Amino acid sequence: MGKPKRLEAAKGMKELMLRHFRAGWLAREEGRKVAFVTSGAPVEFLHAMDVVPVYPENHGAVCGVARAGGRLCQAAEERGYSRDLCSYWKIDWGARIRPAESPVGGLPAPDFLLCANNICRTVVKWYEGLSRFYRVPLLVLDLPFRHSEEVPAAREYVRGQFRRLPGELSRLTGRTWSEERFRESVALSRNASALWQECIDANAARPAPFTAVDQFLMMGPIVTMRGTPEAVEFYRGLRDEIRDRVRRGEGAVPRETVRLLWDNLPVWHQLRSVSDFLADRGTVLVGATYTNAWTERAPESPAITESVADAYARVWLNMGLRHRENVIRRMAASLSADGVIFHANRSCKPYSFGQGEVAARLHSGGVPCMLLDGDMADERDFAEGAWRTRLEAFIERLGNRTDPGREK
Amino acid sequence: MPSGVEWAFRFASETCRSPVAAVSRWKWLSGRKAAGCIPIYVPEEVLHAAGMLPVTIWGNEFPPSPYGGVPPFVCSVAAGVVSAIRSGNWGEIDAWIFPSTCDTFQNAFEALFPPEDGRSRFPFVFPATADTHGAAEYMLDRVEAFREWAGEVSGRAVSEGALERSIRVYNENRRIFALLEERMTESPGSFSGMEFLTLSRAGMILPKEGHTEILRAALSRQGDASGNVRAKMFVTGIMATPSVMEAMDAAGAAIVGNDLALGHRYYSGSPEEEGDMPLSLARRHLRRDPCSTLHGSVRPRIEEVLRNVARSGADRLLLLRMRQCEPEAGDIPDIASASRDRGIPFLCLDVDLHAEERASAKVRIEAFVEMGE
Repeated sequence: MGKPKRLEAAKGMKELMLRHFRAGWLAREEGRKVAFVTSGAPVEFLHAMDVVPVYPENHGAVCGVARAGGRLCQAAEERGYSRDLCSYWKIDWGARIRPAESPVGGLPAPDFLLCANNICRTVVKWYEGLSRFYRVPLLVLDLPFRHSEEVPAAREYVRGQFRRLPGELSRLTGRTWSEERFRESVALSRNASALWQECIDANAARPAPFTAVDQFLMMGPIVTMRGTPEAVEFYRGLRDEIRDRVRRGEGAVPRETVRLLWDNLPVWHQLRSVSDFLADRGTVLVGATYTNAWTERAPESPAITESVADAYARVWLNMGLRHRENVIRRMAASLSADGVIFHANRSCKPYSFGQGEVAARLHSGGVPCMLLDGDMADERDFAEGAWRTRLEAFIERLGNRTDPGREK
Repeated sequence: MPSGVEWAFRFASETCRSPVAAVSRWKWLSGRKAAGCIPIYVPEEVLHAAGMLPVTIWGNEFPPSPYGGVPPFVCSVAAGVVSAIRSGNWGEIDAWIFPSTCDTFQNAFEALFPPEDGRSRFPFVFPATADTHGAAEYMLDRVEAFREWAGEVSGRAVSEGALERSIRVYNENRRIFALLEERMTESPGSFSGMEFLTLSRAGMILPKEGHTEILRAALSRQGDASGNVRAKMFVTGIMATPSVMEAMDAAGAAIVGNDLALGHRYYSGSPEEEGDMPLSLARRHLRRDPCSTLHGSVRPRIEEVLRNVARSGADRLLLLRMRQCEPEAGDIPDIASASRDRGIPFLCLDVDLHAEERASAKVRIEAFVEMGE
């Protein structure tokens, strides 16, 4: 049936990400401060202080796409890290030992580290190790997990930490806090996030103008350049291109018949092959919980620090399974998805443990689901044959469904 | 008639062998409720003050159930807990407390209870970093919420006086347990690894008052076993299994210090017995011994472990890593290199509660003991 149609914006994206990785190295040469940050850390504070953020997790994804993950993980395992540890963490360590294996030559040394545990608690250990290795200060933001309702004391606890962050950053950088630049950066984050959401929501159209695989490839700026004009500009361009496709009735996949959602991080090292495999069967991934997670944003408010704190406290992985189930249900309805693929990602325990239960609940509510084992960045944990067979069977089953009134 | 010492070990062993029977017996005798605590940061004094029996569940009380449905990347502690609860094996437990010790336990709380299980449960989401601004206030709020919950579940409000009495009971138990550890340091081989494991584990099932008596009886044993000791071991990690302890005992390795979660870290740190009791419990949590699941910049774990190795007089460091435990796995290379830098022989042994490699563990421990003899 053919391959998914590529977006023009993809060309600009590669250039943009290369510039992002170079920025860290250049910053060191220019004498600007560099901080390693987790993907759920409030980077807007760093922009306000002219600190250049570098994302080891994103670097892990880039290495995954380049299929360098397995070799870099192995290098870390030779140092003593166990096979069952998160592959992003191991890639980060591996690239420190063998930077030539990284498609971007590894990462520059940081001046300090900013770690928020709203995406998982493993990152705290990872960053403790980085702090020991580089002998640089580590700032940890503790955002308590929210099982159900928000606990007022937890909210205050998080807000208090965010209020103190400017002071901590001033101490580390020797610079004066700029509230104005902070507000600007938050507004830019909000704009980029809103544009990103528009792109994602555009897939409600039939045929879907772009796939979740495109989203995975295009999400780099919303993760690593939140709070910058470059991210806003990029997503405006992407949104416009997608709008054009919708206007023309142009789908990403020729003869779209089955529409699926994806849960969890992608299998970075198999993005194209999975995408082509699905497209060949008239199947399009219309959305992903992972890309959707970056639509969370701080509403406009005079109490901007508190508003930002609240937004970062309710990120996808810091919320209970009931919340996740409801979001998937909503996404499935709004994007007219026929089913959900759950990637049981060995490397991301908080994302993956509980997927079986969510899948069972969705299934009992009439949403077909399947679970596939793999790893986001370590290609050693991927059984291609099993994936193909299972995906094929799932798609066939969905294609044969005879729901009355189901739009095809 | 067995002696006091024999009775103590026999009773503790029987409790470990059949924890459900022990809980059941306590419930029948007392007519009160039992609360299941997922390891290890539950302020049990609150449950005790509410008249309940806190029972720490380690996931190896039952063989894993085929109905567990737990993914393979989940550690065997969480897998064992989930599988046992889903199989209905812990029917004697009336309520559950899940601390936010790690991502896996957090998710287990969310995932494991079938819809028809109406037992009350409390997610104890505590501060992950001891030295974060506001951690004390937040922890205090959680202790108070827990206190209220425990009162509702048990039907007995947790008064300040009851809490004070419970703290005293727990502190006495901690004090006697510390004596046991002290004896093991000062007189290597005075208690075997298996005896230590049994005494430690039994205290997480039995009421603390009874456990204190068992420890006292055990401590009354005299004798010098130092002649059989070939190596003095400091053991770190989450927990040891019986087969690891048996292998150490067989190889002549005496435990002279530990910071196991199922061991020293569970029993260490006493809250103040005067003043505001919930605040005292909150403070205890924030001053806990370093652990791989808690971030603390004041007393980093690796330095603390090595300090304790030196203090104990150990000549080897054994790290028992729970397979699939990311927080623990993250520390290993740095502990290993720091240990070697100080000339302390180091061994990391993987532990899996449901898929033990007994022969391999035995051989590796034997070789580790022989090393440098």
